[in-house]
Amino acid sequence: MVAFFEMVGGQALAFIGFALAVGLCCIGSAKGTGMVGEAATGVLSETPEHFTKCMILQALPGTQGLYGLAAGFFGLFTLGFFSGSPAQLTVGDGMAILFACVPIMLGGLLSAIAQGRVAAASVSAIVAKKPDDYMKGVIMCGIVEFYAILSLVGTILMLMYAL
Amino acid sequence: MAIVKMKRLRLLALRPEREKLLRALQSLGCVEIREPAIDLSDPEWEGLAKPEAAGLEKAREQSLLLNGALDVLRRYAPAKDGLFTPLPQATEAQLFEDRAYADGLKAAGQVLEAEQALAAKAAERAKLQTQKASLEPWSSLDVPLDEEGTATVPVHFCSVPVKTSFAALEAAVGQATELAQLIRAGSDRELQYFLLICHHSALGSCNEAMRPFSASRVTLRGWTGTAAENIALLDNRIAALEREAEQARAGITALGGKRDLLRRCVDRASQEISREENKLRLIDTDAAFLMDGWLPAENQGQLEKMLGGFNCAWEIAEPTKDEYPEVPIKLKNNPVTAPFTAITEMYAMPAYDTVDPNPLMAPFFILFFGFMMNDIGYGVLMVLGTAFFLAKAKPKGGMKNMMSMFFMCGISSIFWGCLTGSFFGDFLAKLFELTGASVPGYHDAAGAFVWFWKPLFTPINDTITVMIGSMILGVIQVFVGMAVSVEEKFRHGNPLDAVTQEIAWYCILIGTALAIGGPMIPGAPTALGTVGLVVLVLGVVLLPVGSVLRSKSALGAITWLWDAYQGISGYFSDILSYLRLMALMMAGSIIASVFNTLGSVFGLVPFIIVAIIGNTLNLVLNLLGCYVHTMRLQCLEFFGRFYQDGGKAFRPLAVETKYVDILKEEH
Repeated sequence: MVAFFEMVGGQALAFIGFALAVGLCCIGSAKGTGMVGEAATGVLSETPEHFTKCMILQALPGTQGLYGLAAGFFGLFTLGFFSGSPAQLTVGDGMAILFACVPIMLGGLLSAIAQGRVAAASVSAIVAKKPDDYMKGVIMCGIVEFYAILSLVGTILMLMYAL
Repeated sequence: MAIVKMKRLRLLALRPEREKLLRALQSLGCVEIREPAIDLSDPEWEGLAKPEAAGLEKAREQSLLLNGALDVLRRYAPAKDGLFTPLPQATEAQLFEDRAYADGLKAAGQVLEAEQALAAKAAERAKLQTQKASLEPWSSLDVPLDEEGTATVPVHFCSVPVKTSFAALEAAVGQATELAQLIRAGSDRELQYFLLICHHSALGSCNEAMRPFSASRVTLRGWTGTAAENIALLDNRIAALEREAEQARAGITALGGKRDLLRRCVDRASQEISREENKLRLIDTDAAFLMDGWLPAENQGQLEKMLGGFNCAWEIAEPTKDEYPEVPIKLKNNPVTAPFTAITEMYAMPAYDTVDPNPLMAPFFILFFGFMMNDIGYGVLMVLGTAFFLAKAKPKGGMKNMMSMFFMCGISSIFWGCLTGSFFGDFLAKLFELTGASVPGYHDAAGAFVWFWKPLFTPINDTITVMIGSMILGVIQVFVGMAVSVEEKFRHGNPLDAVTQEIAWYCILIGTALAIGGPMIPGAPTALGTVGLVVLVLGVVLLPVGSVLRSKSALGAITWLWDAYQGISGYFSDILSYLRLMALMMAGSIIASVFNTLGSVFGLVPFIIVAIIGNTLNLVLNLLGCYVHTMRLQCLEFFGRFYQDGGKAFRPLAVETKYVDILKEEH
């Protein structure tokens, strides 16, 4: 086991973390925005003038993908990959970085899907029936957004202290 | 700065004057009409009735007509209102001008009529096009469509599915009889069409041969002449219809000039609707009517002066304690706190004779928003954007409140941004690093520019400070909420409750903090810890005393444990909830700095582009996040400490418009 990890190396472990952070968050955002987009097409076929409202709601679950990228990028940057002299990582360092990425991996993935549900429901219920109240739908989505933010802050804090 | 004092109005007036009186009340806009608590089915009240609803129905019909016409214009002649176009202005007299209203209704009729004509033309055109499509496969045949052949050799128009091989069909028929001929005409998406010329004696065997190919007869009843001739005729008619439709459309577009009139009439119609709806809350006798309602005490003089011009009798009285739950709530605030009424209204109206939470909440709202945003660049954008919108579009109502609120929050963001030295995150530091500019100011240990002065703290480097700071802000807000509750309890004559609840908790919380924290402060007198312990014990004693006194039985001795558990977990989770201040502050800074770094890796130009896009995105996300979370802290953690909801908003009969801005005239 130990030999296996030593063969893999700390850097590769860190890369698994960054890769999953970016990838899973993007999957979540794709699912979330996709759900809202589907709901929006139904509303837009009847009332095309609500396009902007639908688009704002659709964009909301898209932020998790961005958070994932921010976390991955932050990690690569602090490891010095952009300045050309990446830090040498032990297996322990690599593990720490991999685990530091767990909050945004899971938080981003799941919160984007949950937020997509809220936004899709807001589109088909609020925008379709009471378009003037659509900000309330946005606020509901904002509540879910908070947990993606917490995940990102958690990951970044850990990355800062892991190195 | 408070909940407005209300008075109850009871009014008896004569029916012939009713319309005029209601109009005058609507113009005054300070009376909410309620249904009197009279049960009309009670025989004691025999002879009383409700006014007729005919007027309301008429007003609703007119409103439907006008709105329908506006909808049509929106589709055919879209308005060019920009985001920053202020609403047109009108006086009340102009709004209620009967001739303009009649003109508007006429114009609406014209618009809808033109739209119906257009729809009829479109339907006719669609019908002709279907006919044309059904003839198209026959167009290559030079045979009249009503051709029946002769008695011995009849002609039939037939079809087979498109998948069928026509050659196979021909071969099958050829095998069955020599007295038949098939002429293929053409096909559409589903069928291929052909002419069957067949001697009547061979018809049976011919049909037999065609059956496996699922051939069927096509009826072309009603057509004369060849398909090509008919198609040409149809084309002409379609073209004519298109021209007519174009004209009808141009006609509607030309009516686009009536939009302003229509909009004003829509507004007028909604005034009629609201007046008629209010009329239905009156109670009629043969000659008079009774009105029951509420008005703000400050408007009493104004109302009495107006009523003096009518033959009526009225009584205006202070509400009794029993009536408090019914009193409608109007909040009165100064320009700084007024924008926050929208938030209180969204949450719930306070009960009558309690505190208006707005003035208490507004400073915290602004402070917390800025704390989470904490960026000079974002703050400046907010201030400039909202100021521009307020000056240019002159919005009213909810929009104005929203903009004023973000204006103030923007100032607060600039203030906190100055403390943390953040301008679009670390934009300037990255810029100077890339350009190699040497700028005087505060530099970090490695000699890199940080900010023009030494930041008091930064969210990324001083995480623990920010965390403690957030919780201190939380403790302050929770304590203020408790203080308000204490004041309210004293005012309503429940000092015992105040002492055994809020004051006991003050003792427990402050005592604990002193007892634990006191000895940790270097150089503090050792007595501090002892004082804390004494205060803590005092609080712990007060708590069960209150529970026993309130429940007036020994059972209180048990329930206080539950109270204590609830209190501890409540205060603990409430104060921890303020950690969101730290989380949002950090997230904003981190995302800004990630974007600023992202571009800077590739050089100056990519840096500027990525920073602009990324910071715009971050600003929008932060606006949403900061707004939602500062609101949450107000509504849950703060209001929860003292707020008594349950009031209904004051909805007077008034002139409320959507498309025009009413200029107030002196009455």
